[in-house]
Amino acid sequence: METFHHAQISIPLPYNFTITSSNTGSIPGPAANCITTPWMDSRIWSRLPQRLIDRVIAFLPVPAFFRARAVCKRWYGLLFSNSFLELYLQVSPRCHWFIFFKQKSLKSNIYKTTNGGNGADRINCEGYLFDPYETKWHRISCPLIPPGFSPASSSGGLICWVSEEAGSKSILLSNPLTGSLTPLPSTLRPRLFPSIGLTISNTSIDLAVAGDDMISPYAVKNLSTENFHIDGGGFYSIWGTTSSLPRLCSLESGQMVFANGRFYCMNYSPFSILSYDIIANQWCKIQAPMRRFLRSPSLVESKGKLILVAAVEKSKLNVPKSLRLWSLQDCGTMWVEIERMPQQLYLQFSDVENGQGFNCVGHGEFIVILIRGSEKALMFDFCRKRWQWIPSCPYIHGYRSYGDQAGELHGFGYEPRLATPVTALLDQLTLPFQSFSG
Amino acid sequence: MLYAIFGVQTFLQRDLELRNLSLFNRRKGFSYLFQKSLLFPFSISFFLSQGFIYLFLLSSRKSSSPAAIMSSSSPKMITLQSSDGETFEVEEAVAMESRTIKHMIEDDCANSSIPIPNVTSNTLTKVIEYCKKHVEAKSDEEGLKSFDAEFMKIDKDTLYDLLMASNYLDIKSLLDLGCQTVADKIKGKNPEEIRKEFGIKNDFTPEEEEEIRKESPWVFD
Repeated sequence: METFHHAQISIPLPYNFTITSSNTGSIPGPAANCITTPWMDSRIWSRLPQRLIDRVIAFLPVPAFFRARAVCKRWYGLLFSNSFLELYLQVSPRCHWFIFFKQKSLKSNIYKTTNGGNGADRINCEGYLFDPYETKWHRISCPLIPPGFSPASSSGGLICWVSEEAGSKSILLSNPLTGSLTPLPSTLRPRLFPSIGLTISNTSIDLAVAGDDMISPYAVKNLSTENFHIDGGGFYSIWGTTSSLPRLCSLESGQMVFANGRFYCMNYSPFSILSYDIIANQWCKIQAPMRRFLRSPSLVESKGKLILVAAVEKSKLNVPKSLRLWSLQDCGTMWVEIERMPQQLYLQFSDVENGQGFNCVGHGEFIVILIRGSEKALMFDFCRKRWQWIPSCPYIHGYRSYGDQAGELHGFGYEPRLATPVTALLDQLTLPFQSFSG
Repeated sequence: MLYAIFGVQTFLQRDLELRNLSLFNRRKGFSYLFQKSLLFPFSISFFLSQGFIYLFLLSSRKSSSPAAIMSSSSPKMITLQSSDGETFEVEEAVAMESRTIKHMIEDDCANSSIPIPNVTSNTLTKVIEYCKKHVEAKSDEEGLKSFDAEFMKIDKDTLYDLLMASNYLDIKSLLDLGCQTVADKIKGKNPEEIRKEFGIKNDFTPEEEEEIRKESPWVFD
């Protein structure tokens, strides 16, 4: 963007070198004094009133904001200033990032070897943020999360961590940027690895925990769902709302996607979609399109609509193999194909993927497809209708874990927010109060 | 006045009825019916004329109302005066993009030209150009986006003046656009460069600065 014209080099060259500024943390030495660029003019910008400077800071993307905190003490303190945070929450544009964590293999959870214990701490500590606008990866640490918790979902700038132990599940909500941690009351029924759905708005928190009920210490069955709700209007439901799952369903993905007032979850063998209406407290099944020909289906949400992403291949079909996106229509049962991966790109993709399957996460206008067993990933931008390969995460190179899922990432859409005032609702839970249930 | 007309109408109607009755009493049969049929068109034309008078009065009332601005005439123009004395005539809708001006118009202080003491004519020209476009093409999101991108290709002096003007005139969209542009210019800079840009003194000790870097190492990667 900006170019620097350093002091002229006295070599008879036909053109001047222009050196672009880099994002290094090093402070330039005295040579900085002779930098003159069109933009570095403190005559003008130093006259900007403080309120306007604060407004400019509120528009900074999150990494730039944290770098700007090192400028002076006043800027450092903005993160804790209520007036700045109010301004920030009003003007800051929403950005649709992603956060990924290293997948812990189920074996290490169940058998809990000592090796797994050490590695588990390391895995928990790091999250990998992906910025789809600049296609850049960042590594962020989550040191305050106690061991034995794994990330399940994210919404409204908060990440939901769920305890891994079988039994009644403890849940934490954390904001990785500020390190805040807010616990929720534990669920009531004992479960093993339930699917978690989280949706947070400016004034409410909704959490659904579904499936994997432990009907005996050694047997699980997908029986019921518990729902947690709290909102600024004064309604609470501390796991009091329960609902039974449809018979013979298998929720293996562990994640629920929120769209339009409902949680959606992938049901395997045969493929269908389970939908949970939060207000009506009811589950229903939706048939998947071309369900016998799908491979690696995933659900994502975009612009308030549910989208199914899956590869279609069956030798008996006349249609060529492809990767398609279907959108669920407002009626709730019909699917319409909205996008298909270009054929050439699909050939490249299937070469890399080689039948191992892929995971798909979506946030806002972006869909990221992570290929299992490989470090490569694809991204689709709905606004510009563009498919592109994205650079693989540079922080997991050479990481080889014990178990089958070497360095695999799983994640969800994440919106970096400096402040999440909705957690104040949870602080009230320590006081005795009247709770609604049902 | 309408009531008066109706009053007269009913009076005449009653008069007619009474006459009918008297006719009926006096002459029965065919001649009576003939009389009645003559009277009937009279009463109809009377009623119709009443209707026309009523509509005429209604329309005259409407046209004399100050709130009704007929679409055929030109929209209301507001005069703005910049700090260096130049005047600009803009449509009311365009001027209302500025909340400051909007409040002045609503409080009825805007009868003659509105002085804008902090804004020069160059800047005011640009501000008016922005507001005009945003009023004209309100529904065209894509067009507005490309217009905004082109609009912000300006030098730093103009950007500063636009920021201060949109802050004074309280034009939220232009203010946010300007702040976003400045944020985009500084987002790639390290702290020292930002200090130079804004003329801010570094009040951290080197140890404190090191602490801050350790707090969020991921942004300094």
